[in-house]
Amino acid sequence: MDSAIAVPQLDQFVLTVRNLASDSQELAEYLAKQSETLHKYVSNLDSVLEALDIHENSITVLTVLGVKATAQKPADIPGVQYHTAIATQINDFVTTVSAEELRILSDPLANVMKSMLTNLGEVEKPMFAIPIIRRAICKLQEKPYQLTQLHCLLCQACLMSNNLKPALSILDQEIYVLGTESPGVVFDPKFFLSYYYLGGVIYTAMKNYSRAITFFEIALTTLLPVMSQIMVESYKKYVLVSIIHLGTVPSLPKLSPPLIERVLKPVCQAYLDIIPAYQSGDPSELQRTITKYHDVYQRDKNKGLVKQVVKALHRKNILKLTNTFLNMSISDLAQRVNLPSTAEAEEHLIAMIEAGEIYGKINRKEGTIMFNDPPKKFDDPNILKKILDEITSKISFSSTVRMMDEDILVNPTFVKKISSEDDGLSIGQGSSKSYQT
Amino acid sequence: MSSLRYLNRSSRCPQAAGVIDPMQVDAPPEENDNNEEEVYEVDIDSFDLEAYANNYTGLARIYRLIYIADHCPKLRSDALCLAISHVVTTMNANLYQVLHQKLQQCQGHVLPDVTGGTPMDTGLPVFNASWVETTTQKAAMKLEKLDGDLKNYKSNSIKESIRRGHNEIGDHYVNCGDLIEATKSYSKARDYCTSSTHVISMCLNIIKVGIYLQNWSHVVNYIIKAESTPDFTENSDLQTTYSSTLKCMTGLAELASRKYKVAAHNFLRTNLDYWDSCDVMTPNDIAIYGGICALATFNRLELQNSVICNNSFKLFLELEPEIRDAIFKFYESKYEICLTILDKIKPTLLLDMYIGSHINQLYSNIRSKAMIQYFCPYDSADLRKMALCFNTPLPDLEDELMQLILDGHIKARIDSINKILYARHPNQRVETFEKAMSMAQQYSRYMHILVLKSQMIKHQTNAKVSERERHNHLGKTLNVDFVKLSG
Repeated sequence: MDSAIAVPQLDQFVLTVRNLASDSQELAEYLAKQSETLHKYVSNLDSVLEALDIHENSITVLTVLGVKATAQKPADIPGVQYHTAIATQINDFVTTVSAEELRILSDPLANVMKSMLTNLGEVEKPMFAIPIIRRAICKLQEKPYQLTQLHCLLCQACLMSNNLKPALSILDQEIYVLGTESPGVVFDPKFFLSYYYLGGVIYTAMKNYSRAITFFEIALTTLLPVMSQIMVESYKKYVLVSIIHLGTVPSLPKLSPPLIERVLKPVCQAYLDIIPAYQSGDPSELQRTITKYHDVYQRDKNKGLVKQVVKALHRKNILKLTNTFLNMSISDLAQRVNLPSTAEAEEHLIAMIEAGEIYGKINRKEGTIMFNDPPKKFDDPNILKKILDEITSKISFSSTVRMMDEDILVNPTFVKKISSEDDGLSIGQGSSKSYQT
Repeated sequence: MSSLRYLNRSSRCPQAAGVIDPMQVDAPPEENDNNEEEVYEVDIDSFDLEAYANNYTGLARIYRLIYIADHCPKLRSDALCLAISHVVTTMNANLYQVLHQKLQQCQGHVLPDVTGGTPMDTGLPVFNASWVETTTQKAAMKLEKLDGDLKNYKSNSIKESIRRGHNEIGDHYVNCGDLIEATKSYSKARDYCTSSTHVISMCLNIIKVGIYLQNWSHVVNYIIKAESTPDFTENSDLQTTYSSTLKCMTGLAELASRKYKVAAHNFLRTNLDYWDSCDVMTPNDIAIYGGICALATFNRLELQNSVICNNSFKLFLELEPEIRDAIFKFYESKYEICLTILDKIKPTLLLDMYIGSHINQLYSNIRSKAMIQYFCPYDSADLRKMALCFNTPLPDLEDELMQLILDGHIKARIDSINKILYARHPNQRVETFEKAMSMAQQYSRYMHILVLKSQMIKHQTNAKVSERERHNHLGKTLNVDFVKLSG
């Protein structure tokens, strides 16, 4: 087997890592030192991989894969072939290696996957990465409500390949736990932030606005008082999506301090100015604001959403009319909501009736629209079942919360902190203190 | 009214009065001024300026005339002439100059291409420079004399005389138009007040000047001061004598700050028998202010109890039969007559300096209230009949109704084709369900964020040792400016 390796340095490398397999500390140091050598002989690394056993030398295999993914691709092989080959190797690694090993390697794995995704994106095959990442996520997760370092990569892969469906099954699962439960492992907030930001973008694209708002809200508020550019971008999208979906921008949860006011508002003036313009209900006013900040939206790549805001305003104005009128002529309606033509008004009406936003019937012959009352909801068994499901999910959520509370209660650091503090303190106060110091 | 403020400002610095830029009159009010005045112009056919002016005296008369001149182009020159003729009786040289400037400006507007004729031909008062000079001198002399008297009193230390001396100087300043100085000397009299009556009359002097200055917070302060004078609350004689006047002033101040309901309550508690005009208002004004404010803000029951059955206010209302009729017709649900009456007197009201800028708001309140009351007993109403009743074309009525429905005042929907308004019966069961669901969702969303936050904190504590390093690292990997805020 050894003879297959043509380069003596790599020969030496394989021998050393085999010997060091039991001592992880020294192995890590050795691997860090050897990365230069590995880069040098990139074309020969396949033989190294063959020589190593995935179960025993998982970390080495991953490092070698990482080197392969980041290194310059050899000139004689076409890019598509080369990168898909690496992806297959990574896939093999993910399927073969044991779940425990993989969990320990989650951070380097994320880096390798990231370079893999970038490479596949360059050769326009990002779709290829989706199943690999999904498999890895399933393997990394102990519980379905766990967030892994790969979640954000999956979102990215789906966005790059314009194929959003695969991400939805993952996104629909609420997250309660970050990374692994094992102590000492730190979950980098960048994975968290990117996941919620990209998830919000995906939901926006799928027009599931309420979920999108929730995601942006989480991205916005959870990490405070620390701020990052991702949060600023989230806030911009949050404002736009909220306007489209709700018509107003709801106030953020109380745990976000005046910081939002101080930091976000000055940066996002272009977006905040839309709010009053939208609420004035006057399309020309809104258009003026949008034209004023056109460059900003272009630069932030939010132009599409801004266009949606204009449409949403027409919809909102029509909705207002349904609340006040039983029926009216469509030309009158077009005039009231400042639409240029009757045909356009009719288009909006049809779209809204189809979407179930308003209930009504258009009388083509007389050119009128008749608004009906919304059908009586909450009477049929389906709705009752929905409510029941909602309740069940809330109950399970509440038990999760209780479980986490118990976890904190038995946490040694917490217990130590509490017992060292004044006995008169209640547990509730203690818990908040012990985590903030 | 901005011009009035301007007048006051100019009188504060008399030496600058000569170089007034006439355009300054239209300067926007100061930026910290919240109650921005509406700019409007009134078109009125018949208005007896002479009789109107004779209802008032002193500065109030001149200010009211200026207000009319500012808001009614037709009456501008007449009002200014009348104002000038009244100014001549006072010692207010600054105001005289300003009024003449306004008059000239107004002449320029009305007769832009008078080429041959001299201004004499128009029969308008001519600017009399010597009058200004002699008046200024006279005023200075009188001030000197009053000052000398005051010093004399002070050396004799007769409290009552000193108080009078201060008041006389204050009166003199008012006569000269220097209201700031007038306030100062009136308040100097305070230390020499020996009885509650003196204190209250001192307050009233200051309140009056405050009203001229449109300094409403000052007015309110001194009203409170007057009302909290120890004897005022105990001595019923004192209370009956002054409370009506004070209520009136409070009403005026509340009106200026757009608290119409409070204003109405205050006006309604005045009593004609114990009422002292203070030159600012006539009983007719009280009837108008109180009546209109009450009509705009009271519900039926309040209207019945505090206006129609209010015997003391009835005396005021008798003075303004139109307002009285409007209120009664409104109460009898004859909105058409009521609104016609109100429309008829609208131009006159718009020329009133205190309520003028609020009239549009108050009128629209009255209209909305009338519509709400009109519809409330019905399940469906014919819009055509309603339009007749409210004297409006159908499309406008629809717009008004739409606004009222959107604001939640009327629970109804419009049948725009058959022109019928149908009352709406909301399904409370559905509403409750929806409310509960959205509450639950919001709550669990917040809870979720909290859970994630606690997770975040957990991971941050794990990394506590290398906190700083971690932040640096994070900033690098995100490749952005990582703002860490200690907060």
